[in-house]
Amino acid sequence: MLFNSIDFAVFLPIVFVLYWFATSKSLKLQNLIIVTASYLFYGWWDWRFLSLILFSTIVDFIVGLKLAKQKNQTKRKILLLTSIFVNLGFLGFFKYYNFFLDNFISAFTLFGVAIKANSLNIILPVGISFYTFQTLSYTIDIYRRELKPTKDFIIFSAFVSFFPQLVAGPIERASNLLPQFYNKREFDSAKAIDGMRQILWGLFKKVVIADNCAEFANQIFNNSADMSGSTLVLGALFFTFQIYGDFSGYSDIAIGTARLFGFDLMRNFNFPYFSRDIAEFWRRWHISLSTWFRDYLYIPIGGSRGDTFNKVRNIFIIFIVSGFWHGANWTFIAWGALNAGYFLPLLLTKKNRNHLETVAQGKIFPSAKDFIFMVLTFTLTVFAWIFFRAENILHASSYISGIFSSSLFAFPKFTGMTRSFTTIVLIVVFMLIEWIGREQQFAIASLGLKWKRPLRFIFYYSLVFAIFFFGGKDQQFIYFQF
Amino acid sequence: MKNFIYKSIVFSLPLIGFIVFLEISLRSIPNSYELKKSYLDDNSEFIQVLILGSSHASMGVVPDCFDAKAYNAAMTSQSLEIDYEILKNYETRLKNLVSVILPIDYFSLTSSLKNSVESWRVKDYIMYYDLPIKSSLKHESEVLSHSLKHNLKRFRNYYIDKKSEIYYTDDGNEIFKEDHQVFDLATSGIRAADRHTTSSYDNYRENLKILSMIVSMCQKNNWHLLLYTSPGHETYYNLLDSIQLALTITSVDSLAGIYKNCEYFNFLKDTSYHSSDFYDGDHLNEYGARKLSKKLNELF
Repeated sequence: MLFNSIDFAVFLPIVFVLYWFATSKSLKLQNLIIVTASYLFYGWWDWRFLSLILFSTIVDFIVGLKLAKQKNQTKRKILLLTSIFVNLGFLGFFKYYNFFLDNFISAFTLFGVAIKANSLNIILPVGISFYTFQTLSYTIDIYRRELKPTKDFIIFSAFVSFFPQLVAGPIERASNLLPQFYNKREFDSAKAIDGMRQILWGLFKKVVIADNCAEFANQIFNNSADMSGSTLVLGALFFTFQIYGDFSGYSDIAIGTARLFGFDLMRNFNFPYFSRDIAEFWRRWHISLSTWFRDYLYIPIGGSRGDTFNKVRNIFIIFIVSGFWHGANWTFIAWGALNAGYFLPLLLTKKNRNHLETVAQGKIFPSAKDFIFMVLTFTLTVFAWIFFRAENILHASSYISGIFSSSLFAFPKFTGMTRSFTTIVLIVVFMLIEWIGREQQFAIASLGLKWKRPLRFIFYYSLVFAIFFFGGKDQQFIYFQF
Repeated sequence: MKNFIYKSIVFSLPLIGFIVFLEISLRSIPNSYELKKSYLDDNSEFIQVLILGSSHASMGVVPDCFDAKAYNAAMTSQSLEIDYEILKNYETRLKNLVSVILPIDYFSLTSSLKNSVESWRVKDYIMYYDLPIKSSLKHESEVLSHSLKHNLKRFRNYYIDKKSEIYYTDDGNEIFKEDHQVFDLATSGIRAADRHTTSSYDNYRENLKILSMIVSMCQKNNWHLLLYTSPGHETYYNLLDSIQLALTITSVDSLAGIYKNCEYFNFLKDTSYHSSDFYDGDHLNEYGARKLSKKLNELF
């Protein structure tokens, strides 16, 4: 079920009413409603893959309980490895099997050995990378004795399958989300209204910004060989705003929806395009994944400790694995490696924690220095997105060489160029609102709260109008494929 | 909770009011789907030749060129599953039907209206044709099945500019434009070939199954089924993917070879059609359509 679909618009109020009215007196019933709704939400795509979630849930629930009881360290390790094997096994099979097989065959062919093996026609279960990481964090935390396991299977199922964040995050930690299922939930009107506002902003980002940018980004990337350098730059910019609108829009809707049910999910985006260096960008982009890799991969392999070789190795490992998490394609690995290359100089010169606070805090305009750093960081990010969006490495390299040609200074030209002006204006308005609200949880969290009601409603109606006006394209969320 | 519900209602009421107003207004616009359904409801028993298919047939076959009573039920982007549903819906009422004419073009076996960029048209078959098509909830509504931009344009066209949304004659074929060739053949041919070339064959098996069901239904009712591939301009057919084209033609050819009530004719590269017969790269104009219709009539 897509957040930007009529199905979800019907589903959400029904679940809301059942949750707060029909079952409000029983915490168990409320949790059961969440599990049922979540399975229905996921099964809407393909009910067959519900068995995967259920299997992961059962395995990790049992592993969690046994880990807490087991004192023998070897047996504890075996239990943890079981959880890792099951979760990463599913992920590996559904997401990476064909990639490894194809590359294995190519590698042997290179040495003159022909191997006959057929790729499988595998359908990637939606959101598998998200919920497997979420359940993995649960068993790892118990193994590290940082978390006590839950004995309530319904609560654990609700934690694994909680529908607002099931298919595209934020990837929650058990230590944050699990206790919330134990707490008695009191309806908080202010929190719910805030959640609605965040949903509205998320829909605007997705339907108005991302989907409109997608139309032009797809056109330019799909026909990149025929485009001028300047048009290719425009295509990369459209994709830059598409992926931000799409993914942060999804996170906003997820967080807002969770708030309607009395839950607080972790923040996933913190205005990353206003970052002044790549380290700041990675503290602000897909925060739940970055911190997951930091806590469960980067720090265990040594983090920034040790000699320069270790530091360089660890940075490349975390960025390449993070890139590979996004998909079974060399383009994602290149994207990860490129970001590692951007990040490394900052780490080695110990400047990676230079910009911890929000840019131009309490001010309207940034300083000239901050502005230049923001533009530079944004440019590096746009360049890296080319690898992320390209079909393969060859496509990415031809796209980049197309940019650095004499046509870079020609006026951009592609079908629908005139229509794209509206989208460019929308992006400018969008980024202005984001700039104004950059110190808040989301851009319109406090925007207009002090305005008089008619004016505030006009603002919200304008957003709704834009969503309906530009809607109807039914674009999938990009991160569903990851 | 009361506060939240109150505020939600206050905020939503004007929106709901606007949506209901727009929904009623759009549903009140007379449209071609209603027109075709109404004709079929009232005249099914008199129809002897029924033409189905996409715009290649709605623009390319003229019922008044047939000796028998013919009706053109083809519509823009109408794919095989819709053709089948129409036939099934009127099966018992088509008492005098002798022949069904169905174009099987380059894209017919690889595309499906439900999965295409024109999937919003599904709502017209659900709401105005009353066909039992399984689809998303949004296709039960005019407002939800398309963007507000599109819907406001329709509203303005009909209620302010007084433009009709009826594009078909009483016999069901598309009203021919006075200007016989609006589009540049070269450009439109390239674009159509690109649009019709598939990147996946996911719909192929299902479409072949539906086509077999159409053939079986025709056989059961003793209807003659004439399958054909529409004429195309060289700017179109020269750019078609040879594998997709070969798959389509061999599939339909072998089907016609199995069933006695079924015949297949390929006019794609028919040299009797010249540039002056085309409206654009893949659609005939009135001259071309009359030429094709006379040919189809002679084939009976």
